[in-house]
Amino acid sequence: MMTVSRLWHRAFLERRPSISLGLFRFAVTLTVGCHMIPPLLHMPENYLSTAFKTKNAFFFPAWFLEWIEHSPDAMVWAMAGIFILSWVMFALGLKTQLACLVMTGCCYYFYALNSFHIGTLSFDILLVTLVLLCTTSYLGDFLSLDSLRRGDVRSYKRLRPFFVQRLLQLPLLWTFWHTSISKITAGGNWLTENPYYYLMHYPPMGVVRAFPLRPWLAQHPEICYGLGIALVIFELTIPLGWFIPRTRTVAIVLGIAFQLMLWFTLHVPTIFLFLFPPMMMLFVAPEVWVSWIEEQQEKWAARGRAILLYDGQCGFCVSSVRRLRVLDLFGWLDPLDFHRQPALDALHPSLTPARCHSEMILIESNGRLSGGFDAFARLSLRLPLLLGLAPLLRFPGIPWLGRRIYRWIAAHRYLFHRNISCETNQCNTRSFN
Amino acid sequence: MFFQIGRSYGFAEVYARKDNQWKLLKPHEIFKTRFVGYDNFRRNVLSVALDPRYAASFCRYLFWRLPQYEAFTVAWVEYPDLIETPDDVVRQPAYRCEAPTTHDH
Repeated sequence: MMTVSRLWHRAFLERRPSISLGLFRFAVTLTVGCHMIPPLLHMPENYLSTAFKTKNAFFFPAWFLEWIEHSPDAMVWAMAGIFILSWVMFALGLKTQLACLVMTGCCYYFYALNSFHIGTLSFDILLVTLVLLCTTSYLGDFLSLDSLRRGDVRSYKRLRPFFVQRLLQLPLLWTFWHTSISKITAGGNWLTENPYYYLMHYPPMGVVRAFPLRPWLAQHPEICYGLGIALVIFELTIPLGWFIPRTRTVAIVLGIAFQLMLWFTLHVPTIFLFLFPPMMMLFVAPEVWVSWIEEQQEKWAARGRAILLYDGQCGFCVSSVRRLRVLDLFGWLDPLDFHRQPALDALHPSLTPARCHSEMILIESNGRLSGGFDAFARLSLRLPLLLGLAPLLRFPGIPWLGRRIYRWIAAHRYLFHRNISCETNQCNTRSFN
Repeated sequence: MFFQIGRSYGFAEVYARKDNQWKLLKPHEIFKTRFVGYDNFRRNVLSVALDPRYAASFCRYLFWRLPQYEAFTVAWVEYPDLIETPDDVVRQPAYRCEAPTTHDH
């Protein structure tokens, strides 16, 4: 009993970094978006009163389908807007759990409204995944606006009970086993006939793509039969490899290759390609990702970090630097309060207290100096979590506008102090802790 | 999910009539929705239109989507044996849509 208890604790309750779930959030965002958004681009065709709709009576109770069917067009448009908003919030990791709940609810709504395009077995699997994700806020721990708002500089190794990640691994296991067992039992004919050979003879409008080996396979029924049996054995055995540390890496690579092969040869929903490989990556111990990040931090520490000079007596500046540190995953930055530097010109000959007071200063390890908006633009190239902003910050006209906005904010930064009684730019930061 | 794959293959075709000429419609003329990385119609989703329960709504939809046509016929098409007789095709009308969205079997 003690052993079972210990095993149970280790499997589900042990506190481990939630970094994998933060990364998984992006895969889910991509998968949900690619599946749900295309029909939303053709609302009259798919969801409004003019649409051709089908219902999945095996999935939803009849009373629910009937209730949803009476949705007026205005409500359908509103639900589409709510879905897009929740999807964007989920992607950004803003109020992550709430966004997930709303987004999942919208997915169910549109599925009930019309299952014609989106109703696939893989979508059912995606919905199970979403329901699991709704149970906690762990997906917002890392690479998220939630972590930015918390100012959690160690968000990449925030410890959480492992049960969510474990529960996400299990559906992948059941899917592979269900698929392989169904092929050889209860009407499945992969042992008794040669379905893979039949697939190679499907007409051009069928589900099989025109991949290079197809004509050759269509001439070799014995090879097709062998491939079919190999596929069944593969689907039965590869999930076991994910659970065994010594075989995990190879099993994950093979699993991803299998999904690529499926997509390359068949017109299957890209849920298989966008969701299943990331679910396989959930078998990688999160400590591996944490170790890799900390190795990169040590490398930058050894190479020499860039110095970011800021006003340590400004509450707004202190909280902004804290957020930059959250974004600085690999420890490229070394933020320093310029008030505490004995000799600014030792850091860079052009530095003066007046200049440091007027804007933040970035001094890179190669001696390059930039200030204000330009410093922020440089940061967007070096901090991985700001990379998405880099093209926008360089768009024609944006630097001109950005410099002016920065100068105004810098000159009036007291307006952004949390302590509204602080009307100068020189408040004691202890009052903001 | 490919649990049981047989030697036959069936699918739906939709024909449209204009000026007494019948034309086979491509699925993407009927539904403009495109998906990322795969063609949903290659998964045979259009075969759901063969279900008599959906005939009336499908006809209504066709007249809304393609108002330039006078009538439509939804047909069931089958390759009875893709291995032994791959060129043999059987076509059979399932129902016809005549304006204003009635259907005959």
